[in-house]
Amino acid sequence: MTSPPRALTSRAPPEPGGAEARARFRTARFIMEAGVKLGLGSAALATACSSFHALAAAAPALAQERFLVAAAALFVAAKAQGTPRRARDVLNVTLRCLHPGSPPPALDGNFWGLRDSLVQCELLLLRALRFRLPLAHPHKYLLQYLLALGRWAGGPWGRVPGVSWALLRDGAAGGLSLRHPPPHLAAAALHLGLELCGRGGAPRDPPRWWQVRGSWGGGLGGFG
Amino acid sequence: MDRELLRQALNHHGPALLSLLRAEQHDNPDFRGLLPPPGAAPEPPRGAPPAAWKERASIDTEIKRFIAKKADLLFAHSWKPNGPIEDSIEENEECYAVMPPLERFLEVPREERRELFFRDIERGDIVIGRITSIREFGFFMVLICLGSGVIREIADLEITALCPVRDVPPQSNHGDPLSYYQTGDLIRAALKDVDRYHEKLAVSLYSTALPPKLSSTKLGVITSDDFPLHYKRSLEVANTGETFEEVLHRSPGFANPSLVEYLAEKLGLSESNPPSLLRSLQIKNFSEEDFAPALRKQQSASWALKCVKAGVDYFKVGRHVEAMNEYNKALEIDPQNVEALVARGALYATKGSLNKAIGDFEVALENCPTHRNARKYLCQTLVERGGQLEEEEKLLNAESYYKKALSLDETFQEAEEALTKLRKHMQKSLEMREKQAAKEEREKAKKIETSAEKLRKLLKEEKRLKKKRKVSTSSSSSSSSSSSSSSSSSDSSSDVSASSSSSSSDHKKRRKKRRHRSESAHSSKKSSSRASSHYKDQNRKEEWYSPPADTSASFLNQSFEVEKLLERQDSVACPKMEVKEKDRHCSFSRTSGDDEDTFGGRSEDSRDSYSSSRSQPSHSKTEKYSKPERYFSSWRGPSGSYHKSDYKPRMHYYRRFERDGEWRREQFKRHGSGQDRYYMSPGSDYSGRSWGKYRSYSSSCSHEGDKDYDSDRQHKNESESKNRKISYEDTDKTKEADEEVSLNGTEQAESGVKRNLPQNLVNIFNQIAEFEREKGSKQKKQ
Repeated sequence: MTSPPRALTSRAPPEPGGAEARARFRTARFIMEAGVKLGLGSAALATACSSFHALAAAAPALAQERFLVAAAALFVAAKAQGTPRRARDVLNVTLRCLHPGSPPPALDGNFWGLRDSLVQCELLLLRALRFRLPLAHPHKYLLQYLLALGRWAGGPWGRVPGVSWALLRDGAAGGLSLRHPPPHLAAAALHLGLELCGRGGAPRDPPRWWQVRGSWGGGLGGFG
Repeated sequence: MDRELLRQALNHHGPALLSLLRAEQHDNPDFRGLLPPPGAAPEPPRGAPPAAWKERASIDTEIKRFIAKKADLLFAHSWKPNGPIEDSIEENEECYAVMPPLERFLEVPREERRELFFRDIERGDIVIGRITSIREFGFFMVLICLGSGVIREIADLEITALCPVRDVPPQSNHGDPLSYYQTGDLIRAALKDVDRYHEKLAVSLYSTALPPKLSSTKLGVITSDDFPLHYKRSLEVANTGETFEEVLHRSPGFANPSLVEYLAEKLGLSESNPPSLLRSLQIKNFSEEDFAPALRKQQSASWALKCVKAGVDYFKVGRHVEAMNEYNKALEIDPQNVEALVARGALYATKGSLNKAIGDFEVALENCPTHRNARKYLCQTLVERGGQLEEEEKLLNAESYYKKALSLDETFQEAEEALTKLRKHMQKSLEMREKQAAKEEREKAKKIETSAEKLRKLLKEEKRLKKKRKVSTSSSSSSSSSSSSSSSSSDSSSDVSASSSSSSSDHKKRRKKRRHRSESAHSSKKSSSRASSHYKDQNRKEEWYSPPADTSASFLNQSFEVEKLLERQDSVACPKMEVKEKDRHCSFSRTSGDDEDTFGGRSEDSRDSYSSSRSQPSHSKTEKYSKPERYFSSWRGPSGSYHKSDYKPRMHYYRRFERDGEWRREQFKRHGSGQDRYYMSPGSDYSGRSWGKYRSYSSSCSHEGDKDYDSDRQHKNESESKNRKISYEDTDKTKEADEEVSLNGTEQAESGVKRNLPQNLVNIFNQIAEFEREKGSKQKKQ
């Protein structure tokens, strides 16, 4: 578990609700959508979103080229998580997301040009992040917590895992994982999941990790 | 809308949520009916919030607002309910971090844990414990941990379980099963009975007490190495006092890169259909076409189509190689591209490789069954290919092609015509083939049939005639015998199959051999009626011109003429043969002869060459004999009855032969001793020796022959040389002889036969020797 580079986290995030924050969130959502359509896993998606947010924090100028950066972030995150996707697929999907209903691009010089810029942008992204992709994710914590808690609780527990899983995924789009350590995020997601499902609070005398809810409120702001 | 869940949430969060919900979801028809009236909202069940959570209130409202906002997503039915997890997850440290039970890190009071344990424990669960005391009715054990089902921390709860004697499998045949166990042993057992009220447990060491999926677990004494992982972890934690997080980071499974995949699947979280509370990320709103595989496919298809177009352009200007390259490229891009497949198929078809074309069209049709061009082209190509096959005489294949074409397109005229034409053709050729086969069979069979039997007769006759006279023959004309034997051996397999219906298997071997012998003998006999040299020729013809075509009559004529003549001699020669054997073999040979006859009727042209040389009178004469035989042979029933029925007509002419033989005897005498002796000598020799001594026979024969019958040997040598060289003079000779026969009548012909007979006999015996040798070797092998 490596925490995100200090240089990235130290920058102050844009004020919540501002135009910049909204734009970033939209881009992150775009990443999520394209990632789902590319069939990427939660961890890869979280990596892509975090990469984008990290880049936006590190090099705001570069992040203006939102969708290209988003595509590059997806491309590199897929590779980083061991589920590489072809550049052609990434381009196809992202273009389709941007222009719904349009036919897939013809494989002409224009397309190959796009592909080149994607690869260039990937390199740029990596360099801006100093080749340190934000790879630490709360997902496995959440899964382990769910497992342990599920064993303790015994019987069926409805949709708690699903809800908390969704919360975690959606939280990644808000770039939460850059701001909080993964176990905290996982615990928070689990707790909120329990709350949302009306499943009473934590077990009595919660362990240490249970009390580290941090500033969850900021995270909630992300869910538009 | 999941009403149950909504009620639970409302119960939990109280009326504040309800009002919020009403405000947020007022335009959602799903919620309108579901929301209970304001007054009916239940009291908040929870006690005062823990004092530790200072900002409880603000967060609570935040959460409630959030729930209200997302209520339609949160309570939608699309969520997959997650059941209990324990069942499907095995303890595998490589896949995920195996953790001690959560209560190890919590300070849960004992009573509560005990209560929970007895609530959740089930029959069939595996428990692990330590024996505390052994009584005569069983032993008691204190439970340490659980091996399956729920995972609980129970080591300090001091739960005891009884294992009665009847549930302890005996370790040896005698003695007390309990004597095997000692206090302090670690025991893995299956929970057999749970008395939740009295908190009493009974366990069993028989694995029948386990549920089926666990039945492979070994019960009984274990060592501390066999503890389940979670308990080992638990022990470690007890020593080190680690926190949950520390244990988690320490465990190797947590570093597994595919841990997320593994556990998500086990917990029922779908990565391909991820849940989301963001409205814009609801996967059900995504259209399948926008996903990467679909897009790629679409793109590839259009690219491939472009290539196909280029290929077609090339094709139009006649540049086939470039066209093929384009098509192949298109198919590389999109292996299932129908247009490319059809275009390439068409190109193949024009270049003449019809099979490849058919393959392409078929794949195209598989992918797009409605493609009209593909269907059309495929039909045409199939018919064309069928035509090719037809020319190559592969009629069945051709038929299947036509049929396929018709099955694709029932209105396809061309295919239908071709098929009907082909059917006619097939019928014809089938008949022809049948005839041929029949003829071949018949030939074989005939040769076989007549020979053995006749040989016997011949020997008999000879013996009878020359009882006192000791004659030996020099008969080791290896070349002639080998030629005939080889041919007969090649025939033998089919012979066996033809006669396999008859008689028991132990006879088969011998019969087979017999037939070999008789076959060769027969052929030689046949020729014996003509010039001796002619025999070879004829023999060859029969052997090598396999599908001869003639009327059965003509064919039979020859053979029967020969038979007749030979039989006369037979009757003269050897009267004393082992009767039993003879009879048996006679019947065998007859069977085969009959087989031959059935088919012989259809024999064809190649026969003509020599059959034409036969004179008409002799034909008509022998026809008499051939007819009854044919009749019987055409009725092919079980062999036994077959033989019987066959017997009569045969006998009929045997008798005649014998009569003839009598007459002939005198003639022989008149003709001079040299010849006479010669042809009798093999007979007597033959009869003189026993069946088993064929080798010695052949050698002795040659020896004696040297002494006595130089002239015979000359004859033989002559025949040998002729046999090697197929000279057509022979046929001429025969012709002459035949003409003679026809002119001068049978008697003369017969006398002519007699003259040549010694030669034939020599051959016969040589062949017999050959076969016996063969038989001997076979027996040895056996």
